Amino acid sequence: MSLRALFRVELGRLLCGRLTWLAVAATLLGPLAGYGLYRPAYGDSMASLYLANPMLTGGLIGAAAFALLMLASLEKPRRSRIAAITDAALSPLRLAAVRLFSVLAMAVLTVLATGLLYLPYTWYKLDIVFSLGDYWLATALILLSGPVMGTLLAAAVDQFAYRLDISLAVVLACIVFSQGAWCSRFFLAQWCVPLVTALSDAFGSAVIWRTALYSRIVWLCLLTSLYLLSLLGVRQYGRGLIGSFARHLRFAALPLLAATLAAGGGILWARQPFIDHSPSDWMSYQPEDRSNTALTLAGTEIEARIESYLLGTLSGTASYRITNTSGESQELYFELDSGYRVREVTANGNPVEWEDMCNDYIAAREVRCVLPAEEQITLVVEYGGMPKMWNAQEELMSSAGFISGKGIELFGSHLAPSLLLQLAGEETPVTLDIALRDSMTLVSSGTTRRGAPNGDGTTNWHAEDAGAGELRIFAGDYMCRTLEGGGFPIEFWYSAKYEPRLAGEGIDIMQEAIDYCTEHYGPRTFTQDKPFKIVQSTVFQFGGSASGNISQMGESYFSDQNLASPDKGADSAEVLAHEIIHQWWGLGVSLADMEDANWTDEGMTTYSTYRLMAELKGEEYARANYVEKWERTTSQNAQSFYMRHPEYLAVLPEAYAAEVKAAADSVNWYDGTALMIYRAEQKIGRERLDAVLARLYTQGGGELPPYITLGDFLNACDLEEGEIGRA
Amino acid sequence: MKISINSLSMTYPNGKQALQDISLELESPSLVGLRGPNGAGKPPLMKLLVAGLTESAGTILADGAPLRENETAYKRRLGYLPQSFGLYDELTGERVLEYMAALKGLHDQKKAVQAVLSDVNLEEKRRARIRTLSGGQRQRVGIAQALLGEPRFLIFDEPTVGLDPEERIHFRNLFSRAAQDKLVLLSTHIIEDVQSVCNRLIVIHHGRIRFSGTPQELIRMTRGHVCTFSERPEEDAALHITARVNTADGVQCRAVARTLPAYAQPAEPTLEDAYLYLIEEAET
Amino acid sequence: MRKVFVCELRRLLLNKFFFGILAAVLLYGWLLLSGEVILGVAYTAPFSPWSFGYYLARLLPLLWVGTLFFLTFFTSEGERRTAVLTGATAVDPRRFAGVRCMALLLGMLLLLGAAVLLAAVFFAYTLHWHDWGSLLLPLLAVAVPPLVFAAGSGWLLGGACPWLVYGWMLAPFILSALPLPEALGLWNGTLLRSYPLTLPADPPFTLPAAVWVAQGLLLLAGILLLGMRIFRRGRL
Repeated sequence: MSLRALFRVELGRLLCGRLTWLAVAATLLGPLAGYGLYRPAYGDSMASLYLANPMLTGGLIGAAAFALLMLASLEKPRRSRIAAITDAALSPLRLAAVRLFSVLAMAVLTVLATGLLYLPYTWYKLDIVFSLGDYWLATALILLSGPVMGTLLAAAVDQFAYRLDISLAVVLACIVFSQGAWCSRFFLAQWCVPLVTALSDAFGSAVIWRTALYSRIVWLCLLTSLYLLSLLGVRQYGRGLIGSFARHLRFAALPLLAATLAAGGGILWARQPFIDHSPSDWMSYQPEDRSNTALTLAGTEIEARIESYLLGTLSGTASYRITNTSGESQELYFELDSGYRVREVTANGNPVEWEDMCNDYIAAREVRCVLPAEEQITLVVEYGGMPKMWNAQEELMSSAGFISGKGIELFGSHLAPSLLLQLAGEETPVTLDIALRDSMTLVSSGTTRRGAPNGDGTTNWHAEDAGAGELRIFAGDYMCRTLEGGGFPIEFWYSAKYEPRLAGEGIDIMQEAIDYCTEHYGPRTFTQDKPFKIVQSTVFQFGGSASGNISQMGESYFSDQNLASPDKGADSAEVLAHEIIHQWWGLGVSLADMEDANWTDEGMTTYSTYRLMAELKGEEYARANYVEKWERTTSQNAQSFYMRHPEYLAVLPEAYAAEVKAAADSVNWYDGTALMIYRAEQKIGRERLDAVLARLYTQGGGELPPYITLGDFLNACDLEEGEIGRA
Repeated sequence: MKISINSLSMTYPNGKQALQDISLELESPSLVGLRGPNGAGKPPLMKLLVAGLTESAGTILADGAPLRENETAYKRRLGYLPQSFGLYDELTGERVLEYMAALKGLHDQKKAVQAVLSDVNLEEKRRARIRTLSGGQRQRVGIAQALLGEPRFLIFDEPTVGLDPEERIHFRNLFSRAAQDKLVLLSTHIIEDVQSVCNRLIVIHHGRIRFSGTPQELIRMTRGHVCTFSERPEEDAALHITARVNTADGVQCRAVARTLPAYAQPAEPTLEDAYLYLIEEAET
Repeated sequence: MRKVFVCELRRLLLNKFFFGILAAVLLYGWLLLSGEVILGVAYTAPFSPWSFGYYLARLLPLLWVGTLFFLTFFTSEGERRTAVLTGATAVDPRRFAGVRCMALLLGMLLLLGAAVLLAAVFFAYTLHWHDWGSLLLPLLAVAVPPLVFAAGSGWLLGGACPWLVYGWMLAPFILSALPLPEALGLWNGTLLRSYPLTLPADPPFTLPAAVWVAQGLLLLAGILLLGMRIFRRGRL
């Protein structure tokens, strides 16, 4: 018989069923729930809110709907007893396979229709950041995944169980489990829809598309393998599961193919190239200090090439000028991104032995080599690969470095090997030569210079930096706006997509923060050659960070959602200002105390942000959104059961105890310390506190220089220990 | 078409022996009636013939080739109507037959469907959904799907259940016409069906073949073992009474027995009498 | 009727489904206990009635599904066909329905008991805590009323159409995703996370009056519906 004819009549039968149209309707309407009811994605970029969430929700609902349709399609012949006739005309195995293909075909057609249905609204909402390519990628990898995987799993389970109720319960339980906390930590555990934490508006979502495609391939292999095995269990000749299975083993191709797919899926799972293998107890892990003080680095030259924007791979050659004053050969360790592999290491043109330590730790691993006894050494390391993600950040899909056709962010060991030795001085130079797509602009922590186009769609770029900090680069469709304030140069780099939007409050707040800090604490020492740079970065950084002269802001803070609603409250303005203020508290000077681990830069920065908001939006606003919030969170923290009954904390198994401590610390770092400083203000007065902070900022601490300890702060305020607290 | 069954046995997983050492030759053209009491082994025999079960011992050859090894080719030449079956309620009769025609791999499906709809008198109801059809009409759809594609071997299990007498005669004639160039195996409790059209009768009891021959042969074997008499409660217990008729002269009984009592009058056996006598002898 | 009761109970419990749902309850219960409850809910002890009540509230959807699946044995198409035969016997239909109800409630209590036992063992193992008597009140307040209501309402719906029982299984999942008023806050556990914060530290287990009323109404409605099923005229 012709499979095409079989498929045609089975599809025709499906189209006559009410349940089919119910499944179609559920999948068509499913994405609506993603706009408000169920938002699995963490990120709040426009693409996360109006593309990722609807597609994820639609995929989940489609999975349940088409699983039910598949189960009904397999149950119907048993229930209607037409199986007595059809099994006499055709092997039930073939018929089962045809039924699967029919339901899959319905799923594909439904998803296509759903994609077309939501396209206009998504285009309207995303507006300047809409990408047709990303939209259809989301449809194919996220929305389509649910119905396809749900159908496969349902067919496999039913062919084992032969019970609609049990099969439905198992499939629904698997769908619910896939959305649970455990599965959210591992991208490969998401069998139904891929793990999507956010989608970028401006810098591409390559990390999501790559991991989604990879995990879909793995699960297609595994579920197809399971299905093929279950096909062997299709009941025939009046036998049960085991009897039918034994009988059908004569179709050797089926179990062989099942085994091959299972093995393939397993190998792909074990060898996934995206996540590193850092120890799970990273907080208590103490890496060895392998710095070699006998070696001094005089300068670094890096030549890097983007091997593939599609795969996100890079290769490079890094040259290091090293002085070996010991007169002996020396062991040198360098750190490299866990996803990179060393290809060759030479010293003064001669190959040297090297060893990959395979000791992933926070997305980097150490490589050991032995340098000769010569005094002046030019060490050249050739390396390449795809940057990996730290496994502790897997549930956020947040990577220290990434490479894609729309955006690149690399720094330190994620750009080139980072040697563990002394630097020759504060101004140790590092240079980078890299060819980028013509549409990209390079931004770095140092200076950059665009070179000549190569005529192949790429342009050469040269970057230079100097100092103890690592070279940090960004590439994308960046534009620059120079801000005024503080008396030193400030560059704001942002995606050209946001040009029409960036006339509003976001820029003003950044400027206010700079002026406030300069006025209250003193200027930051930036120069024309090394200006203060605010760089818009990908939503996958979830918020912001600061390092050297660069303050990164996640793109979602510049979305329509945030910039159009300045009265949202503290959140949107706070993060922009907070990151700017870190240039002073954190990068200008740092807070630390040996006896109080919660005395941190975060607390001081949070307090300063409150003071800025008090000036900009009024005392009442600041008090309501900051002080009262701190009092509330610290009070609740103090009320925590384990804080009040530490004896139970001692009894608790270690893993749980660590989690409890981490939650408490997080509150104290930010709100607790900020509240302490606020209480000091209440005691000594605002003016006097400002003078104290200005003095501490410019002179630094005395107890543990260069850090400012809690003792330094209390002494400067003339307060006794215990006079101000967090609770 | 020739079906050769050699020393066929079938035992269920629970240990119950359904068929014991059955050997038969069925060859077209022929209309073979299959009778036996409930639990005699008719369903397992038919399921084995449609490759719905696997035998414990013995072989089934279809045109000399083992059925098990040529299942796909064999099913293309098979038409089967089980006793208990269902249809897709949401489809029309025509669509169900088109569905079955596709399963059977027929090339000119529309023509085949039109032909069987005509054979079973369902042309007027071709576009009615199955759920709207009466029991008899559904039965006709079942018969029609078995006839699709002019199969060489037809197996009908109680095909005329639910049909009115006129329809039963119509289908008897249809089976008879089909048997002119095909092999038809008809399992039925309705003796008139066998009597009218079957040229061969197989009686199966406790998994064994008790009789295989023409209906006339079975009747001849029963001569001298059928009688009629007026009812005598105290003496009739030893006889197997097959009918009781109220007459103006009291209750007239018809019975079968190995030895007829003196008070009874011998009667010419019918096929029903012959079947009952055969089963009773097998029981003892 | 004892034999009938044992027979019905065996039917409900000795099947693949019951063991499957039991496994699901235990697995999900463990994830809840080790992931959330161990940290203490609303700054109360992990073994406080509040934390335990929260645990039960989060398990409620699975227990609800389990209860309704028991009901499918009584409301399925196969059961309807068999009812033609059982209805023709001399058994008092009310006694028969009552026996089935008892089997159903016992099955439901077994599932609930498994969840409670798991929590008890977990607290004993991780925190060496054994005062299990204090968990009775949250058990009765949080879990019992909705499950009795599930039994009664599910039986009523299943009597009308077997497929309604399956649809009714989704009810707690849908409710847990919606913003609910305080009186229904036990359905998604939010009440047990927020209400203790309005009370002094380590408060004894209490609930707002509206919640007691809502739970009481649920329990009463469940009992009434079960009663209606048992005492209705005509066959089951």
